[in-house]
Amino acid sequence: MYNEIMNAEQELKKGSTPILILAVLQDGPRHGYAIAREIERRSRDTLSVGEGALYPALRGLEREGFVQSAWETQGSGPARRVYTLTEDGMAKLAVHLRAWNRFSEAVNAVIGSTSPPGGTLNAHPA
Amino acid sequence: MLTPRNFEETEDWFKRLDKPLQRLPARERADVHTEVRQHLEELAAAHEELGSSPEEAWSFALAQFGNPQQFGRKMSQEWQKSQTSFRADRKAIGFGIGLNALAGLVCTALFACASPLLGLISTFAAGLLVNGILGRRYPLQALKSSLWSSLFCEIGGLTAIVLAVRLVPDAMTINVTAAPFHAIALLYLLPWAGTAYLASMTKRGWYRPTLEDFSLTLPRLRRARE
Repeated sequence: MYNEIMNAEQELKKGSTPILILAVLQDGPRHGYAIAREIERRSRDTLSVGEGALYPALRGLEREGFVQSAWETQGSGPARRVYTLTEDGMAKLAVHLRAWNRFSEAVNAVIGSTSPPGGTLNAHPA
Repeated sequence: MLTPRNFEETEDWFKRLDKPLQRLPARERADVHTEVRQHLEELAAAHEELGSSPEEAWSFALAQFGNPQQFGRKMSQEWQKSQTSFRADRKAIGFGIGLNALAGLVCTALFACASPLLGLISTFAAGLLVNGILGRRYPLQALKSSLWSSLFCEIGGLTAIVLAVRLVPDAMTINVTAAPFHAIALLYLLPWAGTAYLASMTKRGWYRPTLEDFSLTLPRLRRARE
């Protein structure tokens, strides 16, 4: 049952990586590792962007003009590539948030707040 | 500090990453390497904090990052897409400039026989027509930017010519070697200068002009530079 839930979650996650990245960058510029960890922290480890998917997604967002990057020296360490949300990216995020809210409201209206048979399942079995 | 075993493992991992990245320029490849290495170092540090030995932590980090060849392929595909879109932007701007040039040459050839000034005026009018129609029709942002910059410059140029005709006596018989004629001809260069300027911005991806905010071009360009 747990594996089936995880598979269902994977299906839901597909395509949401760019929006998760934009949402994190809304709070300020970050480098790639910080973006991945912030997504995990905010979702309480429910969502994670694989490292292999993160950087191609960032390149795609940069190509479309939603994100821009620059190598910046932070403190005494070496330069790191930091990503920043652009104005176009903010507008894109706003559109997707509206769409997501409509979609989730509609889905909730259809499926209701019914608990699955057998009570509430723990997403992380002991 | 990498152990010898980690060093071998890492060399092999980066060789596998490099294979699909061959088509990228050396600078881009180096940037990918640096970014990935920094990410791996953070991952390894996190595993060490959880209690792994440095050697194990590095191995876990490499495993967690995933298949390097698959990652390299995705990065290469994204780079390819960025090149395609850059070429499309350049072609769009070239198309805009080319159309303006063609309209200018045709009108100058047709009307310059009657009067050089009439030739210039008709060139501006043709440019306005071409840019007005194409600016509405083609969705490519770069093309719109190119065409609309030419459009506004040519409106300015046409206005200047009309004023010159009204204010300068015998303007229609103006000598082509005279300074006023040169000044008016110089105005015609404004569309090309504007287009070239915007092209240089678009080429580096610093600024993506849109039709809607064309009036805000200069402030946005300044912000993009900052």
